[in-house]
Amino acid sequence: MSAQIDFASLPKQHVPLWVVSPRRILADILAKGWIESTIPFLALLCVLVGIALTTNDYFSPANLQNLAQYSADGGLVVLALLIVVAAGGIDLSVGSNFAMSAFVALYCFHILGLPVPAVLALTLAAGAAVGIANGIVAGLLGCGALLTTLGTMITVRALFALAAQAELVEISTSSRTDDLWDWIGFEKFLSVPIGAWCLITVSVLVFVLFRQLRFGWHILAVGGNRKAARHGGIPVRTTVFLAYLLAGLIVGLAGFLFAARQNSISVADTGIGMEFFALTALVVGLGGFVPGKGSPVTALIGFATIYLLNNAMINAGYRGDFVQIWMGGIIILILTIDVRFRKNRHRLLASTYLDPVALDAGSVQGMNGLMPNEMEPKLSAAEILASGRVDGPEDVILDAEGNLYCGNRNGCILKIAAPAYTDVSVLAKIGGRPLGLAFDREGRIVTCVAGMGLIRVTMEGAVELLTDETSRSLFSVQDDTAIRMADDLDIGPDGTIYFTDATKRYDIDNWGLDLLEGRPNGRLLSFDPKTRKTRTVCDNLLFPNGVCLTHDGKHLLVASTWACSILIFDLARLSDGPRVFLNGLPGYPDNINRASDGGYWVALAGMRNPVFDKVLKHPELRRRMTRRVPPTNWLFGNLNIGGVLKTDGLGKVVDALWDAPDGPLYMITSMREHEGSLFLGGVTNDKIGRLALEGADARWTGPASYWGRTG
Amino acid sequence: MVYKFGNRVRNAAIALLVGASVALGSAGTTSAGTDIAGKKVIFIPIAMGISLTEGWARRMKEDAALHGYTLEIRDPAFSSSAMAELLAKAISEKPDVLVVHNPTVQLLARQIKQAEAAGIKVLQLNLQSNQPSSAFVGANWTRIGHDVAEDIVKECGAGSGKSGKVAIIPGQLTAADSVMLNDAAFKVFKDHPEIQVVSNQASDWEPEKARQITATVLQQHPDLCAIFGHWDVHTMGAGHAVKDAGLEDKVLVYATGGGDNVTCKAVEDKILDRVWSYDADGQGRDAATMIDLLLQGASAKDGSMLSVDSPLKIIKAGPTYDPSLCWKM
Repeated sequence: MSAQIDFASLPKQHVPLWVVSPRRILADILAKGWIESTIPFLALLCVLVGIALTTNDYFSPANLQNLAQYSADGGLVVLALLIVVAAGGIDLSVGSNFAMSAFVALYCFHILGLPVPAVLALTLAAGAAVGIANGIVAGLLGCGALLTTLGTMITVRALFALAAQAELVEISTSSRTDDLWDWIGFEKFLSVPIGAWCLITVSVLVFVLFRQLRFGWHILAVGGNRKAARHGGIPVRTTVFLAYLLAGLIVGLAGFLFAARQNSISVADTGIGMEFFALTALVVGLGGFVPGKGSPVTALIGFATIYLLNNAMINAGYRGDFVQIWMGGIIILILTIDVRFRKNRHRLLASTYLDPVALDAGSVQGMNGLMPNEMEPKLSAAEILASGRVDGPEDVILDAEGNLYCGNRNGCILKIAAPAYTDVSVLAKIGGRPLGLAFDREGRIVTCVAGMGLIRVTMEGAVELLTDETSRSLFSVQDDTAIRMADDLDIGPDGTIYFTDATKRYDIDNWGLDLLEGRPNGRLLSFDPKTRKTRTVCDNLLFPNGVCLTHDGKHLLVASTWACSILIFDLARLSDGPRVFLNGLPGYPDNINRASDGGYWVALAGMRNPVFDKVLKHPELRRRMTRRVPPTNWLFGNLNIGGVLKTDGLGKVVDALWDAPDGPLYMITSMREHEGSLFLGGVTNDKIGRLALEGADARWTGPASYWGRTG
Repeated sequence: MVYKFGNRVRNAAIALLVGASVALGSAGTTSAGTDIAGKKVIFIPIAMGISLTEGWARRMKEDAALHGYTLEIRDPAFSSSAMAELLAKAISEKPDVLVVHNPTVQLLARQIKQAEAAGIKVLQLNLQSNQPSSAFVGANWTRIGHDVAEDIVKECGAGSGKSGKVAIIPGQLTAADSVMLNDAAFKVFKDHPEIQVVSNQASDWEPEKARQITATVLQQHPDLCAIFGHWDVHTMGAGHAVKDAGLEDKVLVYATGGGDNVTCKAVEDKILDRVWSYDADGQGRDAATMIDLLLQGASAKDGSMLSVDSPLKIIKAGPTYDPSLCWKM
């Protein structure tokens, strides 16, 4: 009964290998997470270029070594502060702690004459002690971080001043030298100073901490939302305590490095103002005082920016106070630009994201005598089932017994029992937005769920995720492995599931923007249940929607909604790409399903009109419209009235079932023939239509057509 | 009364001056500038913006302009860690002469050694480091400490009818001047048990801190006889505290300093009483001369430090007060 399709004689459909658009690249980059630190990064770049242009040999290897040697302890303090700030706290005592640690190191080395490893251990212990004090009061007892660390800042500073006044002269007249001490303070390993190695190591550890370790994630969670973290079962107080402890340890290490390098401290200025320097670095790097963000790279970018700026200006011979005025000004400038950028980034993204291109679906063809004004609206005779009891049955499907299944907007698969079709029950709760449905050979439902992927549901209601990602496409800025909008599917004779990801750029809630964009953003995928492998069959299709295996089981029909055409793939030669099965449709095709007479049913979700066809040819118009006109006033495709077309086995339209202007079914997205009736679903409908078909095979069912007669 | 020590240039320096002039004479040149033009000198003070360093810098700049060498000034603005880093950068630039102003005897010691090892001549200005280098130009702190202490003993000691209580206010305990001034002073005081040092707390070079220290000391010891401030700038804070307490006629305020006109004004205003001035303006010129010599290759024969003691001027309140002892910027 099935017609012989001559695939080779059909016109080829051009599919671009990749889509290149500067605006899209910009939008995709703007959507990246790391774009947050653009301005700090650019600021650093400006500083570097500025220094390179205005100085000679600032970036000479010798001076780079100097910089690495002298900046290490400051960098460590910034990292310590980052940990505390990430946990939602603040540590003003870092400067005092730093000075005290440096004193302890010098005292242990010069006065007590301890070996260097012991000096290091005691210095770390001293740093940690301040961290513990902060942690107990601010973390465990829950006193304010600002108040607590202000207190420790003053106390530790005073202790430092007292201790230093008493011992300083003796320390500075000590003549003890030690090879290891000098090596740590002054030497290089692989031409990188030892201090810089420490900074590199600690940076990597902090990076790993926040990326990989449970404790790091706890810190971020506590900083992000303390209450939610507590509700999530995270020991908030302990986490904060440990964050302070860790910060104290790192500051201790910084103090040790400083002591080994300077071999001296000054009551007047060691560590003075360091807390504000570190805070400034953090604010410049993170674009504000943001808890719950643990990014050592950005923090160090901020640190490098102000450190180099300061250092280069001092080295250029400007007066100290003059340098400070300029530093202040430049930091304010950077922060202003950064704050503006962060504030407006999403707007910039929103205004660049939509990237329209000219789209010409061609004129309407093959509809002579079949247009709505030329015939009766046959759907007005449809019987309404389950009215008000289903919400958005995008696809409907019937099992061999005639029970009806459909998805709904709540993420359920509903079963409407034959023959009365009044009893609606939930077969399975999936979540997401179930769209296309198909029965596999074993009688299980496989469904495309927008936002989730491909899901299999047994008749017992068990839900199994088959796949939610495919391989990443070449040359994509955004990671497009996730299946964003799985739309419809069909299953080949060998069990391979062919399904469409209608658009990689929009979600179910704003698929309409994909029409305004008019770009080939979708793809046809396949999933092999035997190997559980997902493959991209054909990328860059124009909103690929309904999928239907032809009656001969050798070809695949795929509706290209915005192109108003139906493509055909040869399953034996998928890599040859699609050819055009049918084009020039009068509306936007959605699902395609088999008809009992060897033809196909095609749901039209909406109708074309000359105005919008014209709009689609003018991308700039659409771009301006979406930017300047509120969405309610946009020109858009007419997607609230449609119908069903009937084609023969070779793609010639032979009949049309139109809705009347007043309904009752409006936007029709799917239809299934079953024992002489046609069941109709609509993605925005709250009902299912049933139309008795004259002259149809009253014994024909879908499962039988696919898998042979059952029962 | 004015003590004029005249230019006390140590033997080595004198020998060197002679040697240099002989060398220049034999080369038949009349200008000293020709062979040092284009050389590079970097000066790293503790901070600019104070009369001491500005006074030095003025004379050194004049000399640099005259002889055609370059003088770059790097200002760490009282930050010792910034200073160490600036010095590291300066060393890696390999200048011909580095002029440093040590905030403490220890801070720059390793780097001075490193610079000398790299063939850079280091001139230490006014404040020495533990580490000797090519040259030093500055005050003889031991002499000043000794002389001031002697004067204090005379004013406050046995037979003066005063309490003998002295407060010492160093800039920084580990700065060269404080180390040596205290050393010398305590040596003198040791022979005079009637002198009692009631306070020895550093001001970190800040007048305000010196004022607070002094106010506290005066509360505890209203019969204080003398204050020995190690630097005139911060000691003025101490002098103000004395004046505020209405004790300016009873407490003698001693200081040392660069001796610019602000110091004379302070003496006129009875904020300071006696100032041992090492004359920053003259030191600037001495430093400039030493730079010239170093650039011409001068060095002590035995590798020891060439050293120039700054001549001292004593500015004293009272009938002998002479404002011309101070210099003006």
